[in-house]
Amino acid sequence: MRTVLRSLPVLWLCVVIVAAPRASAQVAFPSVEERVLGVRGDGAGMHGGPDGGRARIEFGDMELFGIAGLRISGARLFTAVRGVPVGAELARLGSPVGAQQRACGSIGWRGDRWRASLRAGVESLALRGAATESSPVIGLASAADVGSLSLSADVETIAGGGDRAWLLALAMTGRIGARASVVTSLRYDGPGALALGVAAIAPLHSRLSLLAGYDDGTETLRVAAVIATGRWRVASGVFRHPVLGQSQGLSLAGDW
Amino acid sequence: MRARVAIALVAASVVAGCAGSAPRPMGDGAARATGGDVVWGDEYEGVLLDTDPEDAHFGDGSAFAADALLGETRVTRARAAVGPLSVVVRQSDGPPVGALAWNARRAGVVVGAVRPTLAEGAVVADARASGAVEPRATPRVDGLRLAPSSSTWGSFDGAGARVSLGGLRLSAGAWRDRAHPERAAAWSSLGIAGARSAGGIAAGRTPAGASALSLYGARATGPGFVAAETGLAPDGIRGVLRGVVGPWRVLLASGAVAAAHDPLPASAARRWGAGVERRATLGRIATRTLVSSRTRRDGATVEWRQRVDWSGAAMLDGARLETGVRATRTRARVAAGLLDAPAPPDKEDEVRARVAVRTAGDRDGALRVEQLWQLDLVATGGESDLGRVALWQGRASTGHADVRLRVTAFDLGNGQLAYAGRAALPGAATFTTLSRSGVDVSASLALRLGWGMSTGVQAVRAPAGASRVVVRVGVDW
Repeated sequence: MRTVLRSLPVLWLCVVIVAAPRASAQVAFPSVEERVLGVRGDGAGMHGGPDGGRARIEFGDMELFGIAGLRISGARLFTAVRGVPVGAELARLGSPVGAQQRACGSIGWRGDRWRASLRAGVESLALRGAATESSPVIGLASAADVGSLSLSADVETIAGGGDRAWLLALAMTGRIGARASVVTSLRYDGPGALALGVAAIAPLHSRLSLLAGYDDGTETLRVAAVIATGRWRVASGVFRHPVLGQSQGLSLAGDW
Repeated sequence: MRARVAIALVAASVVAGCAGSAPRPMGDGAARATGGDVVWGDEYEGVLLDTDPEDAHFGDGSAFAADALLGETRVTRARAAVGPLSVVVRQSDGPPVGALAWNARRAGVVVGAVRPTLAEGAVVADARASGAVEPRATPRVDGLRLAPSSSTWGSFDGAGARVSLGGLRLSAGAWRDRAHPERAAAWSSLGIAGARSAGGIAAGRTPAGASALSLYGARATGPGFVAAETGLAPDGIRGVLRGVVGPWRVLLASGAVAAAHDPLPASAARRWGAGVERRATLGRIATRTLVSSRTRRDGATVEWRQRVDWSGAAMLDGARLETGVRATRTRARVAAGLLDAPAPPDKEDEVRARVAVRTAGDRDGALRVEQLWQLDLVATGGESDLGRVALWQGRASTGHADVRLRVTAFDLGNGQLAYAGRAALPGAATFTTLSRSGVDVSASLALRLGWGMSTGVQAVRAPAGASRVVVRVGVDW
């Protein structure tokens, strides 16, 4: 189940929302949702707290592969307390055989062209007919800006069942012109998988951006559109897996 | 016993001085360092990452430094210096290894564990740095030189001395293999150095009566210099020719085999090699191109290796971008005449590519943060999959604390190898060989406690799941 969680694509739309208009000011904490959805890599330059405002809130929901009851949803909040970036993230994957939930809190630091955050939380897996299994989660995310590039890294370890899993995601966002971006990523989710991903974000209008990408790890093609209006950004996307089929989702992000 | 006698005789002949000599510049022919310092891994023949780092940096500039590494393997080190007198000692699993040296301007003496080198390394070479066919840019040309060491495996037991009188330099020394005392030699050299030229002669002898001779010389030539050495060893004539002219470096070598455990080379291992290197700077981009070919005969096996290595580095808005490609073709077979029907040669082709970005920043000038992103790709003949190695390293440091985290994730095909360094405590660098897939995680924390005292801890989680923790305590006055 956990493996499934890590290979599904959903709140990646949140990534789209934030990354589309401006990739430079984000990168901070690849979030729980992205990791759960296995799209952290695409999220380089994705989000990182209020973009000039006091707070940012994001919601996302996606149905997966047209399977009844299989969907993932989540929310996250970023703000700053006395200048210190903090965040909270919740995600839930529901399925016909059980559910996995995850909650994390994070605290960050910002320096000269770099950002970092430390997060901690818990991941719980509840399968029908089995006891709920909880695992502590610790993660570190870091990023730096180099000219028109944003580089990010996310390391996470999850203990559980007498074992400890390590995850690593590296990503690079290159900005082209005013708002177009290319995101390349490299993600390690477990033995035998070091997946490459690439995505392009192209602005069609001051309020409309399109995103298209491919992730080698999940073998998923992704297409999404982002509409920005005032403080809100809405994204809708479709993910296509050659065997599992199609998923679709919606996300919403707002800045104050 | 004869080796001991030889060592004793040479040690007794010491007048004064350590065998190490001050480098003598011979022109400004050394190309500027570029991004060509990429370590790919199989330089292990010459031991780049594998070099004992404590020998090079531990306690440098300190009157006294000592520390202990407490882990699966316990290591205790100490170094002290008073004026020209210095002592270094290291104790690990076996008995202590170390040296006592007195190094003044005109003379020097060293006793204990030594690393001998002679001229260009045609006959006697530092076992720790003579593997790769890469022309050095350093203009120094030394006669016999014995460097004090605390390396367990990279040094010999021995003694030596040096006397310098004007341009004349006389060195003598003797050493033997610690594990194989029968492998021993005594050498002496006489060199003369002028403003633009230097040269000398050296002779060596083993307790068994085998002799060797070396003639070396170098001359500065305007924008560069040329250095050469020819040696007569028990197994034949050896020679090295090295030239540096502007951005070009050229090396031709015959028989320049690593002299580890072979103080007077007479082994079946022979090497011939040639390398041409060019370093250039175009604006903010520095490049290094090396084309080399090496043939090595080790007993009945003959191996050819051709290599093209290119690397470049550029500063980009405060970050350092590094990239490189290396292609290697290796062929090996049993020497002709040793089999009735010569077997076809073993073939191995390999291409490695790397891109890396290093960034550095600070926070209010008090916290310094350095990061490294790196991706390696490995392609080998016979393996259709492209091996991938992703690395991130972060380091945060203040005046009193240094924290490092290094995570290497890799996904390699059959027969593919990669090499990764690890976050380490000062003076305790380590690296590991990677195969198949997995993740290698290492972290270290070093603290300065005041009064010259420091402590630290290193934790490693290997790909196979094994964990290792090393604690370090030390003083540095």
